[in-house]
Amino acid sequence: MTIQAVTCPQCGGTVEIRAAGWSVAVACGQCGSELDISRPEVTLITAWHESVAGLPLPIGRRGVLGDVEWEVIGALTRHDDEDEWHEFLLFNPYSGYAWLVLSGREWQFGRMPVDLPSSGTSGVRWRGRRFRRDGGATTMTVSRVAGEFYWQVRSGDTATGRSYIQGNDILSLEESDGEVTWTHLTTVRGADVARAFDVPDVTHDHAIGHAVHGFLAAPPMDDSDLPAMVGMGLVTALLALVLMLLVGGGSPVMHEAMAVPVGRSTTGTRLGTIVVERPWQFVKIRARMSDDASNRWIDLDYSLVNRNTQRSIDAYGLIEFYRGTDSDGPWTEGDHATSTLVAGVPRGTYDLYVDTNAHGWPSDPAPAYDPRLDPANPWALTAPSGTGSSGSWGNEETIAVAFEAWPGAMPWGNWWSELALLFTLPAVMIWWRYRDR
Amino acid sequence: MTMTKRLMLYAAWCLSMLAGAAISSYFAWSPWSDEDKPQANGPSGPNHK
Repeated sequence: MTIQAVTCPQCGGTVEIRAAGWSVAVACGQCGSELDISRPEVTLITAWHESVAGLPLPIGRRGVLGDVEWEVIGALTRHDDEDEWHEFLLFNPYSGYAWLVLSGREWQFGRMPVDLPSSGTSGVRWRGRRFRRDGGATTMTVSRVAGEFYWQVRSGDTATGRSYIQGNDILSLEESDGEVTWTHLTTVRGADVARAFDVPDVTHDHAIGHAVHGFLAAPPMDDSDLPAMVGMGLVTALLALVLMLLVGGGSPVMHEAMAVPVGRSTTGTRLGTIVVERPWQFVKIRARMSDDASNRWIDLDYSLVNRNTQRSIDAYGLIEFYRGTDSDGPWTEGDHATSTLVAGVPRGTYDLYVDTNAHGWPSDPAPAYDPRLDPANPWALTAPSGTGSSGSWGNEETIAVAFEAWPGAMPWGNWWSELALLFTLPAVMIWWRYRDR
Repeated sequence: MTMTKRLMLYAAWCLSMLAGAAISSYFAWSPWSDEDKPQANGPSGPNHK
């Protein structure tokens, strides 16, 4: 590699030109001034005294990437309305120029393609692949220059840029003063750059974010694996549904009705018997109160008691139904029925018991007066033996509740969860693809 | 069509989901069962305003 030296007209320091014959501008490594070296007499473009220290890649550093030894000969810092990034010009006398771009702690390696992309409807086509447009056009401004370049560049220069993306490949288009430049960029691992140029890896703490970004990067529709992914998810969801129905499906085997008193609780009412025949099964219990009941709620505490072990499995249900009228008209809330799913019931024969606790809203109903007073007990101070009722004031309100129970229910909650887990990722990818539209 | 790395990862995810469905069905396991009371003090009436 031929190295020439010129004298900086600003500070008198010696400036080495690594790509002599190609470079037309160089920044003095000592004072930072930008120099025009396209003519024999070196002229000062602009004096610039900001330190070039702190660049992620030092000017003059050499490293091997892709079996080519590159030397960092120039560095630009550019920004648009949202981001700032570094562009490093690499040079090899046999391979020419290349770029390393550090944007958001992600390294990209760029070469200028000889064969230019052709325009398409919503992107460009290049080497048989479709690249979709990634965002709109942005105005990029050079905010810092160090090293040497093959074109005149100075701080404040602007260019219009567009990006086209397919997977981890990016085609970058720059337009400045009527000149159009394409660059093909590919993602390189920060660890590879750090190893090649013997610099700290500035991307190591973003390895997970980088992997997620790469996973979500969506290629154009005709090359996309998204339809295959959605199809795979649908087939899996269908298979899971069939599997759950086959293993878990069942129909009611126990029917029982009960008059549930309002305003007090009952305990230990036996509803029937459930036989669980498989090693483990779901048990489903459905309760429905009469349709004419309203502004009432019933707490239902179930106990499945194993006849052999006396072990009890408890579960809970709630029926509540309210109705009323306000300025918007009549309204209802709640349901007359409820279903309770008991999970992980081992094989065995079980007696199903229920404790009830029913109440009215906003308050319990007052007992209706019974004109057939018991003269001996007019205020119902003592309840008639064996009835549990409240005597002469004991036209106690009850709600008819029908119970059904069966082993082997379909766990719909599991299936909906399965659907959510299967399709979250494709949904995020679709959003990611169309987030700019 | 050749399977991309992403598609292979998703296929593995689908298989794990199917295996999860099979295992949870066999053991009759569900995070949505009703063994626990949703509220300690019972219902408090309608939410209608």
